[in-house]
Amino acid sequence: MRRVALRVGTVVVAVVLSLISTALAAGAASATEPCRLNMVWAGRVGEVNASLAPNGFVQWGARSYVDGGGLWLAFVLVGRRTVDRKEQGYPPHGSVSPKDLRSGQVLRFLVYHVDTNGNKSVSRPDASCLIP
Amino acid sequence: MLRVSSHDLAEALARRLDEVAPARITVRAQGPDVAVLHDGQVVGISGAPAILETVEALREPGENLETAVRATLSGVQDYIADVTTEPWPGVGGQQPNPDARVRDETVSMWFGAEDAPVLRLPPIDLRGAR
Repeated sequence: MRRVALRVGTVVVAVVLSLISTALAAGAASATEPCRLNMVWAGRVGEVNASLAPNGFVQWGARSYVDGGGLWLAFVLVGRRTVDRKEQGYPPHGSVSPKDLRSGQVLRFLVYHVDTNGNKSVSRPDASCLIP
Repeated sequence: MLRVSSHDLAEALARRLDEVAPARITVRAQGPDVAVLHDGQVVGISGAPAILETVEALREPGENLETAVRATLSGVQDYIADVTTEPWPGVGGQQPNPDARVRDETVSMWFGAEDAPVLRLPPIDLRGAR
């Protein structure tokens, strides 16, 4: 129990630090690619994927190449505005309504994972796209 | 001025969703979160009500409340569909998208088209009622 609490605590600290850095970097939209169909931000042990559908919704998900169990925390931001946050024991997915998307702002995905062996991973910092 | 805490919103949404959730699924508020349980085991937790406590909520309280409700409904919908392997709500076909509107002191929420929803939840009265 204590071990789990420590893991969760570590993840929460990582989340807070990442959110701070994300907030500081939120103005740097110029280097971000426009949102489109079939975007993938792949890392060594997993990936975040997202797709801007013709109906204006963004479908997104994350997965591990190694171990999908453990604890997943996911945050979705539009600019500096959080539009979703989830916590679950399997790879997260979701959708963002066009009503929550703002043209010209950056849509960003922050996903944290502690797998069943305690290995921690975090989504790529460039897991984002510019909302057209 | 719209004033509602993430705890109150989680409680109000959980109660409404629990009433319409499929068999073996329960929806409970856990502080500022909404948890979905299957046979008593937590399947997933939506932390979307906490969107109300972000800095942006001070600037656009109505919009942020709508966002928090939409995201919570969407999260719960996904958890239910994941565990039952059936789209929810409704039968067959695609999952209807959740939506919400804040007008005056009332939050309306539904799944599907606003004028022909697949499921409409009882509105939340922000003037203190849950």
